[in-house]
Amino acid sequence: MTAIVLYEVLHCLVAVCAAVWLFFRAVHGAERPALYVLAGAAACLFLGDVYWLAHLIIRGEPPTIFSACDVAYIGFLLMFNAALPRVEPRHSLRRPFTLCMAAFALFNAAAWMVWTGVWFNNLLWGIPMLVLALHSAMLADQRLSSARCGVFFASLVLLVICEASVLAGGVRSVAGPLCTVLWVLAFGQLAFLLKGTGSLKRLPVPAWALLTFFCECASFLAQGAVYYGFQVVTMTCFVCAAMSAVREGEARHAV
Amino acid sequence: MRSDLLLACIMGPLLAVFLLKGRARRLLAAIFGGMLIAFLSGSISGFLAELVRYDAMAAVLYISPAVEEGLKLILFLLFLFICQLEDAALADIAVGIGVGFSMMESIALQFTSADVWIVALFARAFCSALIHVACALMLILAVRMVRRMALETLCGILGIYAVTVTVHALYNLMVSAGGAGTILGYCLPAALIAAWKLWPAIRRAM
Repeated sequence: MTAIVLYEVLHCLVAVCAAVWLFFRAVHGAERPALYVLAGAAACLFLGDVYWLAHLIIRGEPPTIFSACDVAYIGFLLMFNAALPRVEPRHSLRRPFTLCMAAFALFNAAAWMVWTGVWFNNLLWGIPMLVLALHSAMLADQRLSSARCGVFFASLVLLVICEASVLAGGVRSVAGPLCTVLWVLAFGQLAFLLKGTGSLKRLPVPAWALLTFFCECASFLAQGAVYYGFQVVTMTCFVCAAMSAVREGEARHAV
Repeated sequence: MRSDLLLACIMGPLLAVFLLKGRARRLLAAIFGGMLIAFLSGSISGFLAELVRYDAMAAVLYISPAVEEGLKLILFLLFLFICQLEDAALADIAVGIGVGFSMMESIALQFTSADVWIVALFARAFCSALIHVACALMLILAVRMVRRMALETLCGILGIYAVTVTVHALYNLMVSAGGAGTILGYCLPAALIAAWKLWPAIRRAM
């Protein structure tokens, strides 16, 4: 429990620093609404963590699911989505990569329902995750290498089969670590696919949003140290998205 | 919450809505609306608490914030569409909704509770008004987004709703703690409103 509390405190500090930094960049910079909304997303993460810690201190136990923590984290997903640029859905929805990410989001929502045995809470989580996945995939799905797409789709299929076998009552001691390895491999494949010929540091905000969604899905189907590992990567992806948004704003302002 | 309490309290603001004009009418209408949704939210929270078999404390922590902020947001949006409000008028409506809500809530609480020390009663009523007004002021950001409606706008509105629900739930949790937690909880909405009032001056200084 001490390690979990320490992790939550650090998570809280990173979230509040990100929120304050984004807010001041929005005020001082080009007044882009996206930076204000991203600051709001970071504030949602901060509030969720503060509520979790306050509940633990005051009530002596973590909050149950579904609580204000979940509302705050769902607010984070919604505001992250609101910060992304607009997209014309008519053409992008037919592209294989977008359809694949949407199907993957739906599979994850179904997996959470099967694993926890609760459908309503996971529906409330699944809808904003699906919206974020769709929106960021439509924006990121530009000039992606078809070879790399093929490799990524193959790793996703393997991952889905492995997770399905665990949920169907497979041997967790074998399939569990294999799933973790497949999640990490698929994440690497996705990052490799999205970066294209450029560097990882220059990924745009929608690509980082997609990576954030992917890591969040990975953490939801994990337990213990693996869960926290993926949560750290999720936070890292969000911070990178924030830095990318600020960099894009500065470039536009300079022009 | 008893309906006779509601009837006794809303008649004055309702009469004022018909007799007044302009900005005063809008403010009293917002106060009237706030009182009405306070009654409704009490009923809805009670029904949902019975449905999921939560006790009173769990209902206050987990159900009431979501229901109360949701009704405030719906009322605010109704005002926006019916009255075609400009940005300058949004703060009046927010304060009116928050004040009306907290007034009805404080009256109902005082009616059901035993004798309370006068200072504690003042702190509870005043801080309840602060949190409801603070959350209503945050909803201004959501309401302003409606003018640029798109899918992202809906996400932004729901995101701000999530912020107000979390802040409200955090306030309820801290106030229920007793001692230092209660004092910190009472300071939370005061800090938010102070930040809202001081923001123009801070922005100029920056």
